[in-house]
Amino acid sequence: MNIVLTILQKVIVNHFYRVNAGFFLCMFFLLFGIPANLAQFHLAIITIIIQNPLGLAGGVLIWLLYNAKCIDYVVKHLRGTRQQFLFCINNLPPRAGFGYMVYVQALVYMPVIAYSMVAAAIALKTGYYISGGSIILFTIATVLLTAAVYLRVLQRKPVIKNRIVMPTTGIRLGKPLFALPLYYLLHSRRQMLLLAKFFSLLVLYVFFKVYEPDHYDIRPLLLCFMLATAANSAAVLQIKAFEDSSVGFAKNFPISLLRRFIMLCCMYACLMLPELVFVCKGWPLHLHAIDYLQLLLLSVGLLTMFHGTLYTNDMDSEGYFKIVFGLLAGLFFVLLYNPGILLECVLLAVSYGLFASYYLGFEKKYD
Amino acid sequence: MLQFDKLQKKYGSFTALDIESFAIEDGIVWLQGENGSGKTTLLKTVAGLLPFKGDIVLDNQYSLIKQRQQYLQIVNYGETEPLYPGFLTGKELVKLYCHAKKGSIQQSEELLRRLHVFEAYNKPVATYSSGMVKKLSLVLAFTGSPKWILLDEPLVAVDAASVETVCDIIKQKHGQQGVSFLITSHQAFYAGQLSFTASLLAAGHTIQHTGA
Repeated sequence: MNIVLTILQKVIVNHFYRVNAGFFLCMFFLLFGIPANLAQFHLAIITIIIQNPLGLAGGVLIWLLYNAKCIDYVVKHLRGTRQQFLFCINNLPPRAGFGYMVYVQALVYMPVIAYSMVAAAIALKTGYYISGGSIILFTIATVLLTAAVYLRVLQRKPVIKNRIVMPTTGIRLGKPLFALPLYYLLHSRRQMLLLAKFFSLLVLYVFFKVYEPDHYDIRPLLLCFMLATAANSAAVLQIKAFEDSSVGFAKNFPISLLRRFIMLCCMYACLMLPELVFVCKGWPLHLHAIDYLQLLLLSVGLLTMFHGTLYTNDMDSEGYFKIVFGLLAGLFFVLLYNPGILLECVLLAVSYGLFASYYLGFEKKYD
Repeated sequence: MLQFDKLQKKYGSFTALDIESFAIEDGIVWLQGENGSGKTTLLKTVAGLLPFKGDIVLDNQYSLIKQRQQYLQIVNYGETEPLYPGFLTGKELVKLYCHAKKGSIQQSEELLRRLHVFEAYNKPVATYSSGMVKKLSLVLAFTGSPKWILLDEPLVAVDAASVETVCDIIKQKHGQQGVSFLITSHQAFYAGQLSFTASLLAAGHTIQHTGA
């Protein structure tokens, strides 16, 4: 294989899938894990896309959203200091550079290409030639135009000539130490945060819409809220990486371990604020006020537990998500037995145990 | 006085530091040594940033293990290549450090003025040059009322005029407030620029006195 392609694949494509492993696992679970009859489910979706203009618009919108995610990642990566060596690709003829960028885009955009090509094939086979042709054209145009954007970034040329200046309030809020990871997510991982919130709120919305209990039971909502919390697990990975890379200096601050852990809990409670507000929609049918604390502690306990597991091992995102899924599977059965607030207390106690043991003695894992 | 007691620091199976018993008297101490001799590891360990075996006791009173909070209140650290969240402004970092180390914001601002980085005070750190970040990190290391300040290569990336200012601040802090310094530097200091009270050499996983 061409050395440039090999390097681009290693540096950009493989890293993209590694970093977004949680997102892809979540999507795979939603699209291929939940539906009972897989073929019928996807045929129904594709039928809506190819037969209904609004359906086609909806499909295109979702594909564009995914493409925005790809652009955000690849552009940031190409501009990164560690990737500055890729600038040497500019020494090749522009056509070759463009070809390499098409290769990158085709690979990161592969999930959409695969799905849209199946949709286009079905459209052409069933006589919906306009829809089929539109999907094919849209996919080709997206790949080529996005590759052109990457090439401009690689050439250090401005992508947009006149930048739109977003209006700001001019108000600068204080940034306490515990909230720095949240500012980091809002500043540098906005898209990932938006996607996580979109999925977690979607899960809760669908639950409230679909599930109508004949008597009050907190367990279904707890299970659903656990899934909504898990949708934020990718954010935990980013927060830990940020903590290691940019907030290491805070270890020199005279702050006790317990206070540091409380700060961690406060930060995750703030991260879960949209879900914690949205869940009030379930009152009084799905949620009674007395059980609200349980939801809050479950989300904080779970996220601090995910965070704690990252201290114990120098794991990659794949290993981390395996642990997340393992924990969720275990907790799923525990929740069915209705342990009440005891479960959340145990989660927090274990999280603190991990934190207290590894925060300062983080090199234990290498011994 | 900084007292090391059976201090051992390992990276996996590699022993970086193995100091049976050693004391560093108050003063301005120059820690020298080759690349990879463990200078930065020692400073980071003393600053409480790295886990280790044994203990470090300050003035026979504050143990890094047993009285961690009190110890860290009076031991500050300035890194070789400081890294801060790029979205924070210099002002926000100064406020954060002053809050944690109980320092005076006005004093930090004055130091920033002396080092000619006050113009960028309200700008995000991401817009700073490496020299400006280094100067900011030095000001942050001077925050509060420390008894010891550990400076890892404090003059790297700092312009010639500011080198004099940094040395003046160190002399002032030591002379007027009795602050002790443990400084690593590959750069030689000329006579009068900074007078060291002791000199240490890091080699063979340990440190030893080489004279004043």
